[in-house]
Amino acid sequence: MTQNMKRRDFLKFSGVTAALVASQGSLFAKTGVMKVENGKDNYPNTTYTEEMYRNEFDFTRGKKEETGFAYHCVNCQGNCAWEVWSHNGVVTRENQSARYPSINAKIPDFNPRGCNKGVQHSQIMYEKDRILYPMKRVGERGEGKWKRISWDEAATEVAEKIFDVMTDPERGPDKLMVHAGTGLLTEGRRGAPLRFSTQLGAVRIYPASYLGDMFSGAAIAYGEGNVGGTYDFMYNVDTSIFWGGNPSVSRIPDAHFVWEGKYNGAKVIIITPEFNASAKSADLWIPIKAGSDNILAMSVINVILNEKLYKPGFMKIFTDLPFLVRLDNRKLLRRSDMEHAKNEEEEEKFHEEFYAMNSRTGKPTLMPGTEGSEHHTLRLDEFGIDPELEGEWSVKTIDGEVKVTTVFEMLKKSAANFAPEKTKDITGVHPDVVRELAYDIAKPKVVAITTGFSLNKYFNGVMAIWNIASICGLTGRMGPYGGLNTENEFSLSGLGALSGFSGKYAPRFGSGFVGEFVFGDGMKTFDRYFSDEDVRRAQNGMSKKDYMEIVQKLLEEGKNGKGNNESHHGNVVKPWWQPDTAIIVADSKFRRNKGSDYREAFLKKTNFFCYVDFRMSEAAVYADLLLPAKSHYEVYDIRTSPGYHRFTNLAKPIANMKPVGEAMDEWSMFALIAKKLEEVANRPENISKAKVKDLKKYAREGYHDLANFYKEFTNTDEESEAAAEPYLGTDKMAVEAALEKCEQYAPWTMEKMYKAGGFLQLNEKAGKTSPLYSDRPFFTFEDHLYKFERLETLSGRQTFYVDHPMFIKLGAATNTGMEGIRPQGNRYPFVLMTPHARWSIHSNYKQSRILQRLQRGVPYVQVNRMVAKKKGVEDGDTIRIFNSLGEFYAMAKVSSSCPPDGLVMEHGWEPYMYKFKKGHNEVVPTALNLLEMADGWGHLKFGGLWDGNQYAYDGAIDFEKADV
Amino acid sequence: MSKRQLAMVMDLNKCIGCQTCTVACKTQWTNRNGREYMYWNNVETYPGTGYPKNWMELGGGFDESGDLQAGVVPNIEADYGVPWDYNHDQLQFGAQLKPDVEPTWGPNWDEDEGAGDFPNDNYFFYIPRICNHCSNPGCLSACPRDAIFKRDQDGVVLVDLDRCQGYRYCIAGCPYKKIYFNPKISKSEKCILCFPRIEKGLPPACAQQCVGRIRFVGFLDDEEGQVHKLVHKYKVALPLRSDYGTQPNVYYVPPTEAPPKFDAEGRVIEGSNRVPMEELELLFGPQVHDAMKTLRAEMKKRKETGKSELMDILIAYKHSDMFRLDQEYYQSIAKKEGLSLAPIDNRYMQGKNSPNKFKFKVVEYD
Repeated sequence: MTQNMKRRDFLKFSGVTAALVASQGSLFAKTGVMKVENGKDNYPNTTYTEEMYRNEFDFTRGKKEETGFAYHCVNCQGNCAWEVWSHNGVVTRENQSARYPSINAKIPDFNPRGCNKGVQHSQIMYEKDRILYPMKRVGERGEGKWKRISWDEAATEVAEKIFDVMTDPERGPDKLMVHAGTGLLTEGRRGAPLRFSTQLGAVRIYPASYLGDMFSGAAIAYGEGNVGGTYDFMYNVDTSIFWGGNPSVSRIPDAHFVWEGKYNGAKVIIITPEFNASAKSADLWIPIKAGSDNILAMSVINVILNEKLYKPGFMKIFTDLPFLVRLDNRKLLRRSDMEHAKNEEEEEKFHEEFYAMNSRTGKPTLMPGTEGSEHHTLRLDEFGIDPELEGEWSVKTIDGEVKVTTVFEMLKKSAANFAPEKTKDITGVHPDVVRELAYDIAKPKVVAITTGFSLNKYFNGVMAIWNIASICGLTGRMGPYGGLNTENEFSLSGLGALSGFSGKYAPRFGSGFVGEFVFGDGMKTFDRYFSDEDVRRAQNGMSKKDYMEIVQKLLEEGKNGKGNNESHHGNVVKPWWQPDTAIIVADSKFRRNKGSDYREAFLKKTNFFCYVDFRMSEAAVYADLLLPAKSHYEVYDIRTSPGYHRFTNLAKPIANMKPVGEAMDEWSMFALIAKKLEEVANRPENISKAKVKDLKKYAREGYHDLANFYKEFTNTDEESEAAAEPYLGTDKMAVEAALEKCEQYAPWTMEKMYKAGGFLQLNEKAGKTSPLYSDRPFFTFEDHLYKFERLETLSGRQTFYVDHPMFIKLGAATNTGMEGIRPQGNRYPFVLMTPHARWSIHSNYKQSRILQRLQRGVPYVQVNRMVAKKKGVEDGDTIRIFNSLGEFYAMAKVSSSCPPDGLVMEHGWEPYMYKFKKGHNEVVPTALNLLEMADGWGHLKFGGLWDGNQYAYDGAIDFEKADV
Repeated sequence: MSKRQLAMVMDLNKCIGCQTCTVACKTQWTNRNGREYMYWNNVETYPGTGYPKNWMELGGGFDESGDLQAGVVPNIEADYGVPWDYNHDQLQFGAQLKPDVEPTWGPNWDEDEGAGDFPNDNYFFYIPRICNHCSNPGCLSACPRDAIFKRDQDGVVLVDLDRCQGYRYCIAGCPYKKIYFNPKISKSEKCILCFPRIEKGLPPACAQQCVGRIRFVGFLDDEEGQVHKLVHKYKVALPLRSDYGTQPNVYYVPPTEAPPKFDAEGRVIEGSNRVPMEELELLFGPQVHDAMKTLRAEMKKRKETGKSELMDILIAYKHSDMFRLDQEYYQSIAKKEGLSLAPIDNRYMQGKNSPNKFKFKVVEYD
């Protein structure tokens, strides 16, 4: 070893390390003299070290037969099967199961799934922010003074509060909110709070809506928001577009299919304002200006139309493009315009029947397959129809002659305003690039356009997704040819047995985005923040005054569900209630909601706030009562949803699991509260009030029976026993019931799932609008394309035209481009983008020390390098980010990947992680989009499909180096 | 030289920078006992400072004549980053959640920052790094106690924790700075290629748990294996900074994939690539030109004909096929040494001496 003599020379220590070295050298000499010839060969002392590490591994692995299985059912939708390793009843670590079977030898398999968050749940489940015991607030809200109480006391208190609000003649069920947030998305455990809520007739709101994750644009187009495929579909596409999406960061378990697809010949295009982990490997990255996606989509439509890249044969059958539109009032031509109905029922049908101009007869003809049509097929051939796509005609209606044209003509007219040369300055995308994009979508055989959740975070995001859907409609993208991919969801039947009551009780759904807007006094923030100019820009010239009047009127109609309760034709308005008592599960709502006033407003309106979670979220800090839930490795549970893959994962605790505090699973917890509620209701002074009146819509018998509450909750009441409903009351019972009741789970059992490695494979019945083939990836709408089945839309086809008065008023009856509501100008020149995070699932795992050490340890925000220089901001500086609404502080991360007109910050930080505990939503206003407020039209009636979105990117901001 | 050499190939085109590998390694080995600050596996954004900070400038390795080069032992605060902790227990009292040490540096501090002018030519990519288990390890040569060795059976480089005295010459000697000082036991520790997992039939945590499916593990002499094919047959997998002279056994498929640049008007510059070739040449040597050529030609062939063995390998249809751990080979050694290393998994057992992966009975879950 010739190098030895140089050792002293080359060994240099930097900084403080030098001080340490001198003191420790001779402390550990243990082994006697050993002659080592050369460590590269025949080393004489291998065993000591090897045995040490072998023992350490054995310790972390534990006994294989004690392995648990789990997934992480927070709102990432990834849903991955994990082995949970343990030692002596304590979880040591997790390792992917990686046993999903390959469905086709020529398509990559789904293993190993998982991500950087799931891989460390074992480390945070024993963290010191675990809620260990039921705790009752004894100080002011948020002050942090608690008293530990027993489960018995806690459940009794919650039960009494529920009884009080339910039986108070002034209040009743709609003053109670029992709501499960997205920290708990499973088919097993989540059923407990849902069932409890439904049984009481308590208010519940749609999570997708208040999160801004609802695919309202897809709902307009397809009558279904969850469209698209399993992620292995990406392997065999020719063009793979991620529009507002960054799969390498926010679809970590599935991103490999994109890059393997690229090796297989796909062209990958990423459309995002920032350069990111997906853009870095793409074939084309399109740096779009934030929020202009709906306008870029219109330019693509413009190119497709001008360069005749569309597919008329497809459009005639599968879209409403040939439908006739009256030019006098821009309404669709309906049968009710042409004929008098004999009775009310016929009138209703006539209103949902539409015409096209039949080129074979030269006459307007009723199109089959529409909502009101007696024919439920789209086989135009059978009716001798070949509809015209273009032209203008005069038709004789019952009101006289009117000029009509086609929806396609209306679309052409609208799209003519969006030539790529004209939109270049708004979108920042060069016309050549727009053309390349249009050709890459129109020409190849299979194209998937995956839309990211960020598109719904902008005002008018509804138009972005609708327009992209329309691009797919024009180019014949459906079924095996791809198309819009929002988020596939498999069909699971029979799970209502857990959360529902076979019609005895029905949930009281309120609007998500409206509910939170009202709860947080959103109108005040709106009025304070947005100018008349902002509203006019975003709502087709409508003044702020008019806008606010319309919104106020709609809110008034939706109050307490009034408008819908009075309607005879389904829902017509977004319903909302104002509860004063709330039981909230796993929903960090004070982090999530926009505007600085939400928390204050919520707490002011809420008399009693019980919060259930396994960790101290921002919501937990302000609760009146805290109930400790178990976390993912301590429970029995099951999860399929949504449908990135065809597997259902099992959660089963490790053997001999040592309990963490007094944490309880949600089923046992709500069964306990149910038991107490039944006891309270049966007290002599209460029994006369125990039957709580409600609308038959929510309670079949006209009342909720609190004196029988536990029995009904657990299916031990007479009616359920007679119907042989499955017994409920623990997490394990719920999983068993789900496996028994859900036909897509057949023939699996918990034992079989365990043996397979913690999952089951869905059977063929899981496909919603396409078959789920055994050896091919799934993609929606084959039934439509091959079997000519109608879509669940008013027209029975893909929708390009909505003649709801609000859509007409806003110039959006057909696809159009609309700018955002974010204030423009130099005062606050930056947009704050807060996309889904690599390092957390919303607020889940944001507090993990292991994950924080791989970030900056405190909230940080990307700042463009040039901009930072101009502003005198250096990497690591604390900056103040502000606008007229408020301010917050974060560390600057100076980056070449950040656009100069924006700041990019992964979202999900709890306000308590920021300096002065002011979160980034302090500068984010909130607004309601009138298109999403519109309701009661065809398939656009309030429900799980059609609610709206709470926006996140509508604040304009400035920043400066802070001195704090 | 060890009898055989186990190696890893990482495909940088498929790496998504998620760091599932980093965290899998952390929970398997480095979340305890003085290893908290260490990242036996890390993923760094390139261009960037890397981990530890500016490791490429800290010396070590050998010059052309085979002489060990001077090196610097990095500093915890400035170069590795202090593993700060939090006051989680104070949240219930309404406190702000704060790190107990002001974070000024960490192992992934410059994540996704990259270089260049937005949006015209900025770029970055990821480089995951573990110990290279070199054939000529700088750490081994630098150790005055001769307490670092290569395992004969698979070439895994280990610190003899019995004999190590904590002098830390190894840290200076390793040009990759992938060997660390454990202050709690006053000895050096490093990535052990998860040999205790491998011996029992389970791939290294960073590789098996890699959700981007970028890592292949197998013996270099296993001609059926992907590692051999990528390194020797197609020569598309190259060692990182082989100019340091340590003969690394971790290989990288260089990043051929990056979007084109834009001109001043926002037009695509056809045929351009954001990643400068000179950067790739610095990292992977002059062979990178041929490797990139081969990769691009095979991608083109795949697109046009649907065929390419190289693409088949990189796509990796079956996750379990990415690992060839040659269980019979390990079992025969265990038997010779009188060790009982019952395999716990039968999915990754194939290899040169193990044609049948179902030969071994493993414990089932029921």
